[in-house]
Amino acid sequence: MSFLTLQGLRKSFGASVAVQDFSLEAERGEFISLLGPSGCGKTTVLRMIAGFEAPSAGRVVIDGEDVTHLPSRARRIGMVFQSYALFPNLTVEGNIAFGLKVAGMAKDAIAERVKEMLALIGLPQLAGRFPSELSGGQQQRVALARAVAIRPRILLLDEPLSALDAKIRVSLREDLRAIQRELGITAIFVTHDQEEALALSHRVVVMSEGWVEQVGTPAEVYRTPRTPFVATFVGTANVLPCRIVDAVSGRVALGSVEIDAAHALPERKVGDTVVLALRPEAISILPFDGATNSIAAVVRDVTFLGPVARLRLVIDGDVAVTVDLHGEAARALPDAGARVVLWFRPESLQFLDRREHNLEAG
Amino acid sequence: MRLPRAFVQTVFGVGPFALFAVLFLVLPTSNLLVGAFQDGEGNFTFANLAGLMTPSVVTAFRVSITISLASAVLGAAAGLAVALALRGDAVPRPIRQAVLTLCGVTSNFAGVPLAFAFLATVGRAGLLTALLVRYFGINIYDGGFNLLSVVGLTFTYLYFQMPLMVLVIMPAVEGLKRDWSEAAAMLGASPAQFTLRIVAPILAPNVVGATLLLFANAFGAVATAYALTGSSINLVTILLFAQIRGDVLHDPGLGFALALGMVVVTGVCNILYLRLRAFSDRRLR
Repeated sequence: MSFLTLQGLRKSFGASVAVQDFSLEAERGEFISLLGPSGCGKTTVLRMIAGFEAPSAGRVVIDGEDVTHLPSRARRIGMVFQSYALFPNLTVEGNIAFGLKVAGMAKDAIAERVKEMLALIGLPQLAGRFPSELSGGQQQRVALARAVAIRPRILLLDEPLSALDAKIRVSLREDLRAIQRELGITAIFVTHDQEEALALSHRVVVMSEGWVEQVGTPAEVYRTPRTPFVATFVGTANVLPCRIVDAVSGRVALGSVEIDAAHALPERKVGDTVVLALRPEAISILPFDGATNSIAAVVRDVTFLGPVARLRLVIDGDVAVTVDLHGEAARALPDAGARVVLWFRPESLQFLDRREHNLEAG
Repeated sequence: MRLPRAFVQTVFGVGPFALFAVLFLVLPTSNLLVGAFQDGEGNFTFANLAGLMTPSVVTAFRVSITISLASAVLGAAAGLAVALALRGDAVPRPIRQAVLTLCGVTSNFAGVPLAFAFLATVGRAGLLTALLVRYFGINIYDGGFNLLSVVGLTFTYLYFQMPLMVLVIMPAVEGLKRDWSEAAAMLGASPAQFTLRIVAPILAPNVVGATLLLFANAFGAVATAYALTGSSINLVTILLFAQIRGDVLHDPGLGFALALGMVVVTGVCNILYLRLRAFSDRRLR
């Protein structure tokens, strides 16, 4: 049985539906990210788990206990907020001890736990400081220590890294992952940053407009996106509408150019339209023509981005394609207007479903 | 040489206020500071300050402080309750705006119009007094209430003290973040524990500071008290008024000393208010 079960959660605010039929099963110690753009419903799901929003339908079950109608304070959940939400009138020590004090823990035990938490976040020297005397990164570490000090059953993280600058974000991300694994706590992490979600999670739930688009490991979500939304939101992808030429061999036509997709499509027939995703880094520029899946293209512009060079090209007159070149391939870049030959492996092409909802995120 | 544009803008922006402050604050204060230590012939003396120790002046300060303190504490408590009720999404936005606008108007409603309004409402022949007698058989004057007394004056002051508190404390109340209450709930705290351990300590410096401001506001009020009670209640402001208007109590030297005493009391209140507010701002940064 799963440690956390979210069953058919739905939340509407008047006529507007924020979350549609959201189901998720999480194991003990699992780190799951809810990934999506602003307004996709990910924070609403988190707030329903926390008990700040009552679901319009569905259930929240933690370790076999139905907590759907329990108040937040009785759920034994820890939460880290984007704004840190540290109590400004309390010191670092006071903030970490807050939950332990209201729980009526003995003074000695509180002192011991606070010491342990300060060591965990690596800030034992700041115990006496007030939040206003700390940097953003330090405040968020304290917020994390405060949340886990009460030994919660689940840790909720509401975009905890969003307010930090890039360097601190990466360092805190690594600490967050290490602390979560050390404590073995089940964590639900809300973010709109796909890199964070991929780096931290065991599984990623991609959401759009209140619906679950796809659930899977970071590699699955990146390599085999199921919908055009996932393909374009998680990383960059060329989304190519094609016509089926041969459903058995998986041969399709992109405009007037035929390509081999290496996927049999028994449920489709010749002439059907399908949508394919092709990652920019899966495309190479060849010095010659004639190989399978080699396509003539014209370079529109070239952008140098440091470790990668991004080329925007046009094939068959009006199909725009993005290509990312790394390492040696990015040393001799074609100029805008140049004619080149693009090539990719058939298995790099991913067939996308039309948008599917009601996915069981188990 | 061309002056920097920012400098010119600053001079034009701050200049009129600085001129106003010099003409109507700095010069009068300096004048009364000098006058408090001069006799009728312009010689240096402590006699004016010694006059502050006479029984009638001591009583005036005691009554003024009593009324100011009572109206400040009661006004602060009521104003804080209103501000907390108006916080967040609990009240529809138009109602909230209407209440704040009303507070803006009533906090400046004082003097003869306010005195008349209270006499017409809860005076001996006031409308509310009459309605209470007619429909409920309650005569508030039989119960000991008297509008023309210390209690009555305190009650009247509340009319502008409470809305002033709402306006002064509202920014601090609005500064209470929803995330704090949610974080406290997640940590297992009840609403009462959150209020006691987090809200109260956060708001305390602002509430104390605002109460001091209300105290100073009431301490300096004269028109309402004079219009309502004449000289039947011995307040510092009324005593001061008596020294300068030229009747039998005419004593400009004592008037200067009384005014200096008031400047000291209200000045201390304002300085404490500013320090408490700065402390709170620093903590909440």
